Amino acid sequence: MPLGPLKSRLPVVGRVLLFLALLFVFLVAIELLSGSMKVAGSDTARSILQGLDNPFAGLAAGILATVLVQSSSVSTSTVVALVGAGQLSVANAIPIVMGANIGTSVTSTLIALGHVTRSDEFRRAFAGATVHDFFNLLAVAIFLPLELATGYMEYTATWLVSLGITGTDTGFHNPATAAVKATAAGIQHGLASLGLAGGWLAILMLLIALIQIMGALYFITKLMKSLLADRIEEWLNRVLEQKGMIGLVIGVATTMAVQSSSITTSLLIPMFAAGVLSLEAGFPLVVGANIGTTITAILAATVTNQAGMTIAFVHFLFNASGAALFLPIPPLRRLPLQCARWLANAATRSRVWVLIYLGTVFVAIPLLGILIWKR
Amino acid sequence: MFDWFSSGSSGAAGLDRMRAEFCQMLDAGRQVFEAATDAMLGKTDPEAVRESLFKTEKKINKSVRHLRREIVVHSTVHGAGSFPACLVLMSIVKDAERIGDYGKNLFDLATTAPIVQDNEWKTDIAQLTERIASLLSDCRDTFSTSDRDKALALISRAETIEDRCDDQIHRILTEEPPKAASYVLAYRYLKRVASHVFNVLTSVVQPVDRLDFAKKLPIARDKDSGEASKK
Repeated sequence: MPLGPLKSRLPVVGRVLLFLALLFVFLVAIELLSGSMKVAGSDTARSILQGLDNPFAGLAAGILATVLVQSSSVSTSTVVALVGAGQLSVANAIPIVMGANIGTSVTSTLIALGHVTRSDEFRRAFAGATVHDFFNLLAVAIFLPLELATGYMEYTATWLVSLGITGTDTGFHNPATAAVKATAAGIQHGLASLGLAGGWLAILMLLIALIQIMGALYFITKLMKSLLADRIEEWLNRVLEQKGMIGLVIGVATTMAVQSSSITTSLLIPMFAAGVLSLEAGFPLVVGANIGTTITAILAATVTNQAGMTIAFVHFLFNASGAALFLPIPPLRRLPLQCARWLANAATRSRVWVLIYLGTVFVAIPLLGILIWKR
Repeated sequence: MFDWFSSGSSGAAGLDRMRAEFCQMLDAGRQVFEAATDAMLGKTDPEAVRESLFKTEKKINKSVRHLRREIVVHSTVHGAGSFPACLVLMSIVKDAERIGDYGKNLFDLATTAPIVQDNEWKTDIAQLTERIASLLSDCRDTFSTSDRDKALALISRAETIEDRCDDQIHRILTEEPPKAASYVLAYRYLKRVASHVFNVLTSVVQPVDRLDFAKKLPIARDKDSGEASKK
């Protein structure tokens, strides 16, 4: 069927149904990923993830994995599935989730390079993109040591989960979750009936799950953006007219709607570049995008267990803690802005700083981190 | 391949909002023009309309910047499909702003050298101002309804007015002693060339919504050229 007629025939109701179908595919993928770990056996999976006992290796792995897939939603959902399958502890998963936050900010930084031929535009765009990077780097620099010393995020998330907002191991089973589990089991049995077993079955299930997660999130993002583009436009115009913390709310809402912080932050880059959005006004939006993106891991955790939901909540708590610390305190709020401006000025004077920055933060340090700290 | 996924939002709401604001700009431009030409022709005291005229003109300039910001947001959210509509709006917003600017120039004329003497020139100019005011009003209605046939008829009316102005300028320059008129026009055109060069230069240093506006320039300016906007 040609796509042209379909374009005009797919009404909003159809798109909503399509969204629900894609969400179902996504949740089945999470269940399938957990299942693949169980099929592989504890020893195999743990031997692969063993090196992540070191928090800095975990952080580096989180950055690198997210840079490679260009989506923190994919990497955090995978982490949720691994934690849910019991192959990764919540404590070991926390640095990975923090690394995912840093890794996802590379997308908007790469988009800012599109303005490289016009100095003023590039300076504004690059500052707008890297303010996200610096906020995440500073948040990790503060909260990772704090978490390692106190474990406050894990304790708080565990407490929140104990309140009843939990995964599937609490006795409450809804039909949607049952359908997800049945479908994933059906896929597993289907593959097993082809004669696959053990390691090969686990690898194939893992591959199918990862492709499904990436595909489902890609199409959910596109679909939701298409459904809500007018509303997002209205929200962004409101940010331009009303300064202050409304940006935070709009950042959260936009990202929750499109299921991707990269989409939200990338939308801001042309606005930063054109000079219609100042760094000060855009910063709360970026912080809001960080909080909004945690919804994906929480959704993924609904088909896992309490441990899966705990790491999803840690992801939320980490980003909420960053917002609570940096936004209300002016000297702290200015810090990522000043870092971003400094780097943007340097990058505008000499483009080599762009390569040094991207190569160091998103490639060299994570690779070295894994090599040095992974035992 | 998967474009149909993102074809659901036409961006019509945003475009409608911008078009409505543009129509308000045209209305405001007509108000400035009518107030200025009434003062120029001695129908009203310039001081009686000065405050509201400048206030309305400022409102037009504010709308220009607001619309430019909205255009950036709209094209960012809706992507390449929205570019033709956004580029058209970006261009005509400038024209609507210029209508306000020239209204202000006519008001300056009313305060320095009003046309008070009753003669054929005054009669002709009065007729032209009425035709232009009517054209502005019709233009606003036609733009809001996108009536192609009516727009073509109005273009013809606008061309007739332009031709009449050119003929009258030619007559002044050739039939009467051309000294003062030619000097004034020469200065006027020289200023316009310099101003347009200025506008091009602002695109290098100013954000999109502040293009052509001299305020808040990041470079030191000569006090003598410190106009709010170069026209």
